[in-house]
Order: sequence, then C-alpha cells, then structure tokens
Amino acid sequence: MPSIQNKLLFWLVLCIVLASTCSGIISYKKSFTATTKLFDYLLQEVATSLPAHLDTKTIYQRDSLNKHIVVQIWNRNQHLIYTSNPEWKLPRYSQQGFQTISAFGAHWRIYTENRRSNYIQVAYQTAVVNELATELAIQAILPFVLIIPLALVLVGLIIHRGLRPFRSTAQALAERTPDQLEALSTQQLPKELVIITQAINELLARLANALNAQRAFVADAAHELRSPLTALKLQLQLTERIQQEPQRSQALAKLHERLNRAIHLVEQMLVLARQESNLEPASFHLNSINQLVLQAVQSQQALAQQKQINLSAQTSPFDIQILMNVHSMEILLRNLLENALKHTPAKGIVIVSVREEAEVVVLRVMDSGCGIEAEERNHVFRRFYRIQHNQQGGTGLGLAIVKSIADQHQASINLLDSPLAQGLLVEVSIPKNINKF
Amino acid sequence: MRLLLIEDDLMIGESLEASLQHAQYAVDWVRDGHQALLALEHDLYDLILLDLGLPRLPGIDVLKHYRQHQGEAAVLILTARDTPSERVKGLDTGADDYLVKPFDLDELLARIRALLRRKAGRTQPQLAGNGLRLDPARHQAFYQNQLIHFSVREFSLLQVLLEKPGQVVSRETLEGKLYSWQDEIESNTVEVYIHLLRKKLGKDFIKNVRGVGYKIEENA
Repeated sequence: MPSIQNKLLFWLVLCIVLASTCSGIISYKKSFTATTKLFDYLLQEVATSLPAHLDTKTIYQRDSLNKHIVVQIWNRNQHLIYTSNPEWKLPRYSQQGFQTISAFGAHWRIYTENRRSNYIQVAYQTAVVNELATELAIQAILPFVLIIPLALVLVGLIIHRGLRPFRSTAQALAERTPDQLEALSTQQLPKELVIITQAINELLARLANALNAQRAFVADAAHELRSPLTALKLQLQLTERIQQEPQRSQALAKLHERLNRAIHLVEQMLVLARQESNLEPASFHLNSINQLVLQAVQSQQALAQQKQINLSAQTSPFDIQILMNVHSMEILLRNLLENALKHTPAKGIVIVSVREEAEVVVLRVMDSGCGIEAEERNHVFRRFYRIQHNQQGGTGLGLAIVKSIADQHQASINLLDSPLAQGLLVEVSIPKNINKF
Repeated sequence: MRLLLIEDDLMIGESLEASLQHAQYAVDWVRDGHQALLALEHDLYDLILLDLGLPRLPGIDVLKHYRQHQGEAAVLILTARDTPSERVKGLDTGADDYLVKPFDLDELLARIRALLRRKAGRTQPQLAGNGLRLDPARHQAFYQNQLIHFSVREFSLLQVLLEKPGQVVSRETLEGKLYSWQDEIESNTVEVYIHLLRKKLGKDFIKNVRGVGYKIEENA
C-alpha cells in the first residue's frame, strides 16, 4: 500500500491539474469568441472609416505595420486600386459581410463592403486571435500552476501534522513490553485514531490477562514440580541413611511412591499442555460413545478390584456416534474414573452411565465416596487446585484436564450429589453436533 | 530438641518427619495453618520448620501471628517459592533462615543445628561442660576425651542440659524437648534416663535440685 500522504498528494495534484485544464479551455474559448467579436467590430470600423471616393486607376500600396492584416479596395471595374499589404493578394469575395475563409495556407476572417461601386475588403489572419486567446488562457491557468507547489507543501505539512498522533501512538506501542501492557491514552487523539486505539487497548488487556495466566501457571508449575522432587530427594537421602531391614525396604517402597508421583505429575502436565495447545479439527472423528465407556471401565477394572469397588457401566440401548477426539475423550473418562476410584472407600460403588437426550449425550460418573463440598465445586477445575484435607495427594490437574477436553468438545460439566451415599456425580453433556472447530 | 514441622504435602511431611526423627529430634507435624497456631500456643519448640503454601492459613500469617505473640523459637522457612522478594518478606516477617525446595537433607540438618546453636547464644558447634563434650552434627560424645556411646534419648537429654550449663532444667521441660506427641511418655522416663546417664558418667555428673529439676555444672 502506498502511503496515505503520497496518495492524498497524488489526487490533490490531479484535481488541480484537471481544474486548471478546464479553466484554461473555457478561458480560451471565451477569449476566442470575445476577441473574434472585437476584431469583427474593428474590421467593420476600418472598412467604414476608409474614404469612399477613392478613384485611382493604379494600385496604391503601402507596407502595413501588421503583416497579418490586409485592407484591399477594388473599383467598379474590379481593378484592385489599394492594398495595405501587397504580400497577401487575397481574391475579392463577392459575398458581403463577415466570413471565414482559407487562403495561402491560413485561415482568414474577412469583412467585405460594397460602397459607391467600390469594393472594400478588410481581412486578418485568425492566428492573431488564436495567439491572443491562448495568451489569455495561459493567464487563466497560471494561478493554478503556481498553486500546485504551494498546495504540495501545505498539504504535506498538514498531513504530517495530522499523522503525528499515529507516530506517537506507534511509539507508545513500541514502548510496551510484556511487563508493561497498560492501555494507550486516547486523549488528544483524532476521532479516527481513537477507534483503533480502543481496539488496541482491548487487545492489550487480553494479552495482559493471558500473560498473567501464563505467569501464574509457571509459578504454580515451579511450585508443583518442586514438591514431588523435594519429597523424592528427602526420601532418597533418608533411605541412604537407614541400614537395617525392614525399615530400609519400607523406605525404598516410599521412594518408589514418590518417584511415581513425580512421573504422574509430569505426565499430567504434558497432557494438559498438549490439550491446551489447540488440536486441529482433523483429529475429530465419529465414534461410538458406548464403546468408549466400556473400554474405559474395562481398563480401570483391575484398580477397582484392588479396592473391592463395584465398577459398572450402563450403556445406552442404541449405539450413539459422536464427533469426538477419541484420545482426549479416553483421557477425560480415565481421569473421572481414577478420581472416583481414588475417593471411594473400599467396597464402594462406581457407576458410569450413558444417556441420550434431544441435543446432547449425557455421560455420568457417580461414586459412593466422600463427595466435594458445594463451595469447593467451583474451584476444582482450576489447575493445581486440591480439595482441602484431601489426603490422596493428587496433582491437582486431573479435573483441569477434564475441563479442557470438555471445552474442546463444547461439552458442559456439572458436579452434583451422587445418589449413592454422599458421593459425587459428575455429569458431562456432550452436544451431538459440534458446531465449529 | 523438639521441632515443629508445618507442612501440608503428605509425602514431603512424611519423609521430613522420618529424616528428622532419624537425626534424633522430637518432631511434631501439623498440616495446615490452624493446626500450626494451635500447636504453637504452648511455646515448647526449639525450632519451627515452616512451609509457606499452607491450606486454611498461609505460612507467612502463621509466622506473623507467632512472632506477634512473642514466640521465640527459631523459624526456618521451607518453600518452593524462590523469588528474592518472597525470601525478603519471609525473613522480614521474622524467619531466621530460608531454604528453597528441593533442598539437601544434609544442608537442612546443618542449618537446623546452626539455628539451634545461635538461639542458645553459642558460636561453637560443640557443646561442652563439666568435662563432657557433645558433637551434635556427628552425634558423638566425649567424656574426659574418651568417646562414649549414648542412646538417642540419653544424648538428647545431655544436649538439653548442656545448652545452658549451670542452669536448672525442669523435668517437664526435659520431657517436652525429648518427646513428640506420638511418643508415649511413661511417668518416670526422665528419671530412668538420668539414672542411666549417672551410671555412665558418675553419680554427681547430673545434679538433682529437689523440687526444681536437673543441672550439669559448667566446670567441676
């Protein structure tokens, strides 16, 4: 894109040139008509003021001052008795009055009068009028031509001044850093720029929010990564110090526990990071929700049996196919099932059910565990949030991952009281038709 | 020496408690800010290990409250937050030292010893009195330059008495420094250990001030 300044200047100059051209043409035409009229009048005057009794048989000649004007007189015998300019021997035109003719390669305006049997013919070359008209036209154009450089300078100055807020805004923007994203001032800005500045300010605010969230995440992640590593290092050093069995074996077992926790945290963080770095739509396919649920329940069966928990699935009577990212949905179900099994005491119950509704498919995971207090239900989807007095020591990422996957599928999640004891009921409503990706 | 461990992370707490017990400290472990305030009501700790990110009440508020109520114990902050501003805030609120997770167990134990030493007004890492020299870092004891073996409790008892040689320490204080909540204290255990120590160090090494407590003379 060419600069606004150059564009404006180009069009301005073009306008001036067009206006001056029009003005020149009009001025030329008007002066031409006016001068022709004036000259016609003069021709007539000259013809009239000539003495009528000229009666010579010889040609009386004299050199005219103006070579473009010819005065000729013929006697009744059609003998040329006078010419003011012998160079131009114009023929006698019988038609009386004004006419324009061509002779000697030029245009002439002539006036012929028949007076007392003499013919008087006065003529001039129209080139004279042309010259005069051109001169007048040029005079009409001249102010415009003079105005062009002045206009260029003036407009340049005005635009330069007018664009100053753009430059100051650009500079203010250039001074913004990730640490300083405060809004740009809209004071003393032209109206046109206020709109852009406001839009930029909104963008800056969103960017600051995103950066703050990112910083908070990094700070949290640093804290959360250090905790399992601290436990791991402490346990390792403690184990080194213990010589006797069986304390040493016990310490080693705890060392494994802490190592597994660190590994689990890293895995969960990776899952969340992958989940949040938007997946491409190509990874969405039609898949059977019943099959998904059955597979998830099967893979958790061993863990359930370990705690003697009755884990069962209630699938839909019809096979429902939903557009989903299978891998993500597997993670969602696995996290919900792991949570349910973890918080359900031995010999408890965990049920996964699928129900089809008009617009959505509802996935339910209910357990007979300890549940989540109502006031905590809003917080549990936050990264690294752990339920108060939770003795299970999770990563605090499981439900954040679930939420992220649900968002990806435009599904809503509800945490409700489970019909089984005081446990939790997690309800995930997945739309059958996902609108857009 | 009795320590209070304030740590909400189950695994860190478990490993720390075991490590500190292994280093012969009596340890009480609480997992949130409110429990910490309750435990600190009776000022019987020599040192407090404080995690800052606690549920219910932040560690920094526990510290503020403790110092405002004239808590005298040394406070060592253990935290994963490592920005200089947070260190400054912790130290300015009244902490004596600051250790960032993950830390080295040896370093933690050395810092605990240094803090305990400073709190007792000593600069020497070893305790000495009445011909007995204790090296808490190595857990070794020398009596008249002879290496003597003491059990964990015996060593701890001697350590408490040697912190302030010549001063009488009550039986209750000795009990408080020797046992954590989970230890079962029998009514005459302090007397049992005094008896064992006297057997090893001679009848007059630990003096009994009737009705008040016990003391070790600075120099015999």
